[in-house]
Amino acid sequence: MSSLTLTSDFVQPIFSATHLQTILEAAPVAMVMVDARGPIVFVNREAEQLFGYSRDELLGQSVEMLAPEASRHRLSEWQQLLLAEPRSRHLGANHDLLGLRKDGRQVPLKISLTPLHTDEGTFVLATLDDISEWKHAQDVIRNEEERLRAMLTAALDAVIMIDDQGRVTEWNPQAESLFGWSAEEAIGQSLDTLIIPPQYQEAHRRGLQIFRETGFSLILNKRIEMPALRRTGEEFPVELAVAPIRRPHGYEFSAFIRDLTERHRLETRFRAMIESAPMAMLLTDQQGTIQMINAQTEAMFGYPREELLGQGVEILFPERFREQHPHLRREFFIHPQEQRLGGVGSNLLGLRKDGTEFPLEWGLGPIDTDEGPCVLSAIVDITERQKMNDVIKASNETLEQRVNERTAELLHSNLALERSNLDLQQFAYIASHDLQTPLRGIVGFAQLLQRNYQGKLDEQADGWISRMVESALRMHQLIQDLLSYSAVDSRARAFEPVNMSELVAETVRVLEPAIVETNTRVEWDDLPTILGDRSQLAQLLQNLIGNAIKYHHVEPPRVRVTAERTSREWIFAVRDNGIGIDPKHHDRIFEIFRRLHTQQAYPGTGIGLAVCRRVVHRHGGRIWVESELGRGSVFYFTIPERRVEDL
Amino acid sequence: MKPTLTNSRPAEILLVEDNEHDVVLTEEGFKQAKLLVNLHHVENGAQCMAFLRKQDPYEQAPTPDLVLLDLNMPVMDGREVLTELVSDENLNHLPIVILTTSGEQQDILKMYKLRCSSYITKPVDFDQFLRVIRSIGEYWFTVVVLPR
Repeated sequence: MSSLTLTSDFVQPIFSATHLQTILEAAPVAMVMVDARGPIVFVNREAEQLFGYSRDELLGQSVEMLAPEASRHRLSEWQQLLLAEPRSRHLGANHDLLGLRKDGRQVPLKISLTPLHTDEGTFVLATLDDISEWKHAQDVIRNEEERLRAMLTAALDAVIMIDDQGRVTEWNPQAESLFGWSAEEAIGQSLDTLIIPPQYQEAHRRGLQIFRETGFSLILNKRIEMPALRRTGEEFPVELAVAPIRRPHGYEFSAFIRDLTERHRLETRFRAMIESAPMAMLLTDQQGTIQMINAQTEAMFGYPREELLGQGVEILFPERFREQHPHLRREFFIHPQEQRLGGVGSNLLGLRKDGTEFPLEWGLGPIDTDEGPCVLSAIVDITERQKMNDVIKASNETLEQRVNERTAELLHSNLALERSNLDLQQFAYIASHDLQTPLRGIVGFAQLLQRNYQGKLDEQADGWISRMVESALRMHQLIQDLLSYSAVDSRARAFEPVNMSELVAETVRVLEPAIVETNTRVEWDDLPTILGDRSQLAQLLQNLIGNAIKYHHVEPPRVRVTAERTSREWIFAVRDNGIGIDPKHHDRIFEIFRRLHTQQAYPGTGIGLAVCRRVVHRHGGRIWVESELGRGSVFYFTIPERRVEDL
Repeated sequence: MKPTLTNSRPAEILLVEDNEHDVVLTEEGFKQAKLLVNLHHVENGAQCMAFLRKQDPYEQAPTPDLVLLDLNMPVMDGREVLTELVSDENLNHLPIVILTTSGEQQDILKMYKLRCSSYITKPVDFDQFLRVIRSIGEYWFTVVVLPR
């Protein structure tokens, strides 16, 4: 927008006042002329439009009405200034001048003031430009800039701009903190000396030059990683993306720069972790390409690292497994979750470089990387474990076989035992019937001889007949005893609670004739109730107490029955003051038909203690004697503690 | 002791016994006990059944007042005889006394379950045997009322 400005030099006599007025009137710019003393003496059409007043409303009025209240005082200041130093003055946009319209709106103005000296005195001619639109455009630009600046300031990345000579034009706060140079220090400086390590400076300059000459660059609009330099001289890794911006006078370049120190540290740590893992580990991408492996992987599969990196992971499996792998991999990425393949008992095998195969366990898990979703695998060679497992399995089988064999043996001996038990019962029956029948014949006819022929033969014949009867009766007794011995098993009854005090009392009643005859005193403690076969326990007590009475000394027999409890069993004792037993015979007395005395001294067959032992054994107990010749005997027997629920 | 038979005739006794010596001893026992009996003898259960059913060669045999039955015999033993007698309408009224060597609980229980009249174990001692014979005579022919 240009403005016609009349200067005092320009006003030539060739123009009449009328001419002048016509020119001013037609000027495409608002003009107001003011008498140096104050009132408005002239306005043109543009001025009328600008302020919204008609000419009549303005002429003769003070010019102050066209200025907002706040700036009115400046009007007289300018007037004084103009008059004191009479020359044209341009008051531009930067003065923030405002005009006041009739409707109260304020209009931003650019004003030129020119003093005019005429015959009628001094006037000031003001030309006024409405700069609303310009001002608005300025505001828009300023807003854009502010937004840009805000973005640059708030950006997480360092943002740097350079011109095509490599000079810094923009340097945001992140760039300040990243590189250590303030914006003030950096702007205008050559970028290479600021942040580019010496070894890359030449390349940087050449790159710029090539771009200037050819418009071609290798690095533009790409993410590149390179080292950068801090103010301290420290090199550190950055990632940057550079974009060209076309300018009227050439190009600028913006660079977004990110510090990779932390990521490198994490990556290094990740690599170190993988490297130090005790198992083979490898990272594969979505295509199954091996991205990273550790030394264990090299050792396990026999490949040097560089031969595996970039290969498909299928290379590690025997041919027959490969076909299904792509399918499995796709499945994995559809449902990425940790999985475990192979292991002991599975047929999953790995393939070494040398072609050998080995069993393995393969654990895999999804992992997100900058390059997209990947699979991190951990692989264990389970050859040893498989071997151990086979050994364990084999030894288990052996064990099982042994158990089976032993069970079979036990079953066999159980059967044998059962058979021998049956045999024993069979024998008992035979003994009771088939042996007794002929015996009864012998006894019967011998006794008939005795009855019918006593005294009819000679004395010797009578003696022999009675010896025959005695022997036969004794044999009968032996058979009876043998029967009662075998009856301990064959006539066994179910266990029931038995009060031993009552049982002793009962025994004493049964033995009463012998007790009375020998003047025996039988005493007993308060004895417990135990679980056992009542009739067999009665027989046991009868035999023991009976023996105590039978084998008595010169003085009257004394028998005492006591019981003592241990943690697992009851120990019963039958104590007497009888003839006692020589310790050398202590074991033998429990054998069947074993006797220490003649029939004449103490009649009997020697079955009593054998039956006692059999009864005690059947109850799961032990029986023994403590005795010395002439000092009485104590017969002990134990009955294990049982509960009714155990039966 | 003088036997007092209710009908003043010798009692008819059938002894079922395979052992010759036992037969002689039993006969001697009845003789010495001075019991007036007609002691008939068969050697096994089959003969016993024939005797009781008056089958050949026992068409003329009397119906016994008492049967003394041994258990262990060849051909047909006492258990089978008793089992068959019990289920025979014509014969199950006969008093059967088991006279055997066996003292087996099983045998005793089984015979009583088959409703034998008595179960007696033969004593080995002849004096005791004699007492048993006397008791049988006294009990069955003086105390007990038998069907005619």
